[in-house]
Amino acid sequence: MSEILLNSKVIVYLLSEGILYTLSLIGFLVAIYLLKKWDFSSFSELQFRLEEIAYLIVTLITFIFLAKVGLIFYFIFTIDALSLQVPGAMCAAGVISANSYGLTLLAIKLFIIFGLLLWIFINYLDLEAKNYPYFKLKMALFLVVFLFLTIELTLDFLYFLNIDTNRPVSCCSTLYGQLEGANPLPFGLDIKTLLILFYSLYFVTIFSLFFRQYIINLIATALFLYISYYSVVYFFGTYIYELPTHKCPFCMFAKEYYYIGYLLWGTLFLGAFLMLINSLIALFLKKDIKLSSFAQLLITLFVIISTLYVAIYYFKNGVFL
Amino acid sequence: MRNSLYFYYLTLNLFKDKKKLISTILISSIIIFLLSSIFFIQDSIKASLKSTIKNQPDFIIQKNRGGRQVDLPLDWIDKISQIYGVTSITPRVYGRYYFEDKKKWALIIGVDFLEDISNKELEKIFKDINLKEFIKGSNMIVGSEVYSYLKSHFYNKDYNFLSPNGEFIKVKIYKVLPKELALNYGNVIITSLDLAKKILGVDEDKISDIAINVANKDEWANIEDKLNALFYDILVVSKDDIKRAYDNIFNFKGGIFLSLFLITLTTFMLILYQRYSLVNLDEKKEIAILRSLGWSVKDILKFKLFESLISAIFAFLIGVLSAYIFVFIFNAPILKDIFLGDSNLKNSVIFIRVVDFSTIATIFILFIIPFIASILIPVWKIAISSPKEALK
Amino acid sequence: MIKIKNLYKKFKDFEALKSINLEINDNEVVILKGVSGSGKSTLLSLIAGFDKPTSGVILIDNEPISKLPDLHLSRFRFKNIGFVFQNFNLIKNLTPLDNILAPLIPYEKSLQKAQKKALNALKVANIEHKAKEIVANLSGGEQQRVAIARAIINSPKYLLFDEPTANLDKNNSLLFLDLVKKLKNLNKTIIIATHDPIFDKLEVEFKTIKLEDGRVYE
Repeated sequence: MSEILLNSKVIVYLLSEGILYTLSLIGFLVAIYLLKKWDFSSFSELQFRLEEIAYLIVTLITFIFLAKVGLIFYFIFTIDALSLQVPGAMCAAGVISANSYGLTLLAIKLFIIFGLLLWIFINYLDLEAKNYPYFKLKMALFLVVFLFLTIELTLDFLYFLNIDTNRPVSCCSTLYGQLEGANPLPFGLDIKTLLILFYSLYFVTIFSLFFRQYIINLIATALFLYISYYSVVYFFGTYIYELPTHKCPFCMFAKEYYYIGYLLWGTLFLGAFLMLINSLIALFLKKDIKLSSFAQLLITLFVIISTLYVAIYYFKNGVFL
Repeated sequence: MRNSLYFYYLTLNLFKDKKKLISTILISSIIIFLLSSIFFIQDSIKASLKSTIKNQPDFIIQKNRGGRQVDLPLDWIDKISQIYGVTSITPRVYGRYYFEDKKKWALIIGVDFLEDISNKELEKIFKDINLKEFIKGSNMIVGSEVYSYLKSHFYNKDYNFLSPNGEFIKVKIYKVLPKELALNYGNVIITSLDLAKKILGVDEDKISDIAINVANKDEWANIEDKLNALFYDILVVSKDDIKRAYDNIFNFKGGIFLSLFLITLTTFMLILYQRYSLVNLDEKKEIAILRSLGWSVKDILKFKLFESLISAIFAFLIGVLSAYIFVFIFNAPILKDIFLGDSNLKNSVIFIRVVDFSTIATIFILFIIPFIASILIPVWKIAISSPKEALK
Repeated sequence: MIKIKNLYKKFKDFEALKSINLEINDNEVVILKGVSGSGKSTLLSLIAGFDKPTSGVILIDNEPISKLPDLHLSRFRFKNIGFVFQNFNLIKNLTPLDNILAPLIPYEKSLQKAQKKALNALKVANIEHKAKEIVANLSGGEQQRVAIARAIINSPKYLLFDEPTANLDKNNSLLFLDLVKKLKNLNKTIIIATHDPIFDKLEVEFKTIKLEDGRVYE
């Protein structure tokens, strides 16, 4: 058995994931039952009973969502702590790439949080209407999320079982550094065009909402999320670390950098997720869930924090990195 | 909060059924207490070891024959000092000394005071000692547990060691180490290098092993290769190896405790589930009344979950606080023996106070997720009590 | 205005209500008369939305309440319907003041505002002087007035009473009749399910609806 499995944080994490999965399994079975029997026009006792049972799913999903948000931070925290046990790892970046499951797992976690958040808002609209118009939609969405929860749990175990504490891993310097001049940025971008894209996409995301251009907003937000990831890792991050060669999305979670990673990535992902959900619902369900200004605020906050790091460095030292 | 109707009614409801409130808080806080104690002890031991390891030399070089460690010749020191990159070399002599009854032993460490003291923790100890005087005479510094053992056998000032060649060596107790160092230096006796050799029967021209420091960490692998090339029967132990070995031992012990804890946790979840499922008619009727007054199922779910959450947080605070007092003020009786074992000298370890945010977060997650998970379904079941029940 | 069309309610094999058609106008006082088992309590609980009909429609201010999802039904009930139970259904170990705050919890944030509302309601129900005693120490008549205060705290348009005089002596019953008069003057629509003949003494205009075996006899 892997020594990693004896780490108490890992045990606690896996146990929590297991419990949440059990709850979601109950939710899944109930959801299938509801989908089969649901008939809102009926006056039967059964239909009134089903409407009460539906609240069980609402309760379960709300709890799972809150717990998953907490656990994604705990997950990062845990793998960061594991870097002491895995040779070569200096921070979470090394541990997450200790095998091929890590990054997929992290991506699925983010996707699940997005899915659950979307579910919560559709559920809100569903309950606010007087005839459960989105009932089947939200149940179907939950079935999809459940599929991903299953994959997530499998990956959770595969990932932690396959961390070899004897095999050294590379860490952020090699994972994200430019090896032999190869350009790590997508579409052959350089830093300058990356930054131009970053700021212009930001303005497109913000302004497309004023003109209710939801399709443009969806595309721009998705792209902004993608470009932001690279901008933070390859540009803004270096100002957080005050070192031009230090390129890492994870080190900023550490105490040395005042845990800024939690705030930075938190505002980016929450802002972008809410923005996407707002536009998706406006586009497909024709409803305004009034999230746009909060989402705009979060994204703006993210851009301001990132930019401030550069600005403050420039004012202090009179040069850029 | 003062002017919040919701909060007002929440507290009103909480204290309405004191028996239920107290019993829930009690079982929860016992669980948290046990859990926190284990984590606190584990963290404290880890922190002590960490500080020890930090003070350890970067490499220890031992001579190995047939898998057994044997003494190595002094002249190796000169050969090693030729390797480029080695910043300091310290010869070390140490070994176990078994007392008369052969059941208890102490670790004798000989220190070469003329060389750099490679151990930074020891450096601190020797700061306020007159070294010349200490080396000249037959003196020793003893750990707190060794001292209490000697005292119980009426050796208050000195002790007669019996060397392997049958002669008695009388050594004066020069100083006793403070209790705070007991975890690592509790059963240690520190003497000068020559005295240690005599007591342990090590040849004049031999030593137990060699500690070296290498300033540049990137060179570690390189140095290790060079050492292996220099001597054929050598064992090089790096600081990282020791650290990982310790980490694994304590993760393992913690793991055993944790699996025991999982069983307790399952029981706890079952108890909670039962407690919340066993709804008396009064409670059901109360929910029905609230629904008849215009509360929706959602409102009731929210209210009931808030109510449980408050008692959970109360229990959490009580549990963690009492564990803190138990471990760091009363020094964890009973649990300590289970954790440290008592094979060598009696453990009179004092736990150094380390409370890490990550430990608190771990305890919180380990408690709150099972807690809520086990009450969610029962709470939902009460929440859908039909308002027509109120008519009965 | 309450409109009931072709209402049926079955409990397993037993038909509690059969083909009920009714209209109740605003500010009307209606006495639902009938022996126990005639279906008057069932009708009352259907109007309050506590239970769902087997078939038929209940429209209250044009809202089909029997098909409203729980969330909307609860909000509707909170805004428009006050219900006074036969056994009052108060929380015995709390004060009247705390008892009648209960309906406001999900809807009102400020404690001060809520308490102000509560004292007002207690005043209307003539029980203000006992606001801070424990409910268990109050007499039946007093408890009923607390229950009425709770029902009117959010000034709903409709007030429903289930056997209001069943647990009262004659003196208190007469006091209750006075209170009904007062409430009618406050523009409430009042429906009282009862079999007590004392309501013939009611000093306001009222309509009697007789129920027998789940049917209306006018």
